[in-house]
Amino acid sequence: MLRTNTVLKFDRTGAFGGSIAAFRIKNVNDAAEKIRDKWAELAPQDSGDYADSIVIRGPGSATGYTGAFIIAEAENQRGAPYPTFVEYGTRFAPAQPAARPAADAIRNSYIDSFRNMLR
Amino acid sequence: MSESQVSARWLHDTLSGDATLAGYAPGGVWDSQAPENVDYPVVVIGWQGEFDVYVVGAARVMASQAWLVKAVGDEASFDVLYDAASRIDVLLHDTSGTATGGTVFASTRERGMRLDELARGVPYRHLGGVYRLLTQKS
Repeated sequence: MLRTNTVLKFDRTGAFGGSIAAFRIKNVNDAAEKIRDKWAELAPQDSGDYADSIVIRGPGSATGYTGAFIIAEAENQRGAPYPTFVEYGTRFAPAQPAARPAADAIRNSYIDSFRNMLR
Repeated sequence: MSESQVSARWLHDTLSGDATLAGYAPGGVWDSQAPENVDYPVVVIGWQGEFDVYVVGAARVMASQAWLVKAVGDEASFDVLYDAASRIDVLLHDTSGTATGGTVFASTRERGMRLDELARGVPYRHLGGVYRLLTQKS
């Protein structure tokens, strides 16, 4: 399984207490779902396999409970993962970035959600 | 002219105007994809995403853009690319400048990248980084 470099990783603010932590996990989930949906929208739609392979892992123990990974797991017919090659391009194919634009697209709304939480 | 055009022009001017990098990557600097039958290594730049930066009143100040900048070689080793990738970093990390149509306020490396592939029986290696550019058009 090849994992792209798009990882949501946030600072912990455990001193804020459980209720804040719970709210933060909701923020993380909301942001992760928005990125996944946007990533799938921007991904090449040739067969649909790439877009369909984008999943969310976490929050949980593997992601520090307050983080989430968004991963594209698509493989070609030989079982070779290819989303990174699509994102960064190959020698004979230009890059078709989808993960980074998706993360950038929801970045401001994610920051706003924390700003509103702290008001 | 869009912010991405300003950034692309600044990147191309900065990279192609450096004699040291030209020595490490004689194949030149290309946007998106290098042509076939080029001398290796080459330098390839590519847009990776962006978001706009606004202030009160929906005034757009600049665009924050991610650009992939990499050296590409046709040997089964990254060794021949280290010098070119290092030179790219010297030219683009913690720098700024102007280009026709606007200003690049800051350029910093966001993360490194390293990729290997086998295409048409030839092993290709890609080494470089993703750079964050804060660009304002005139």
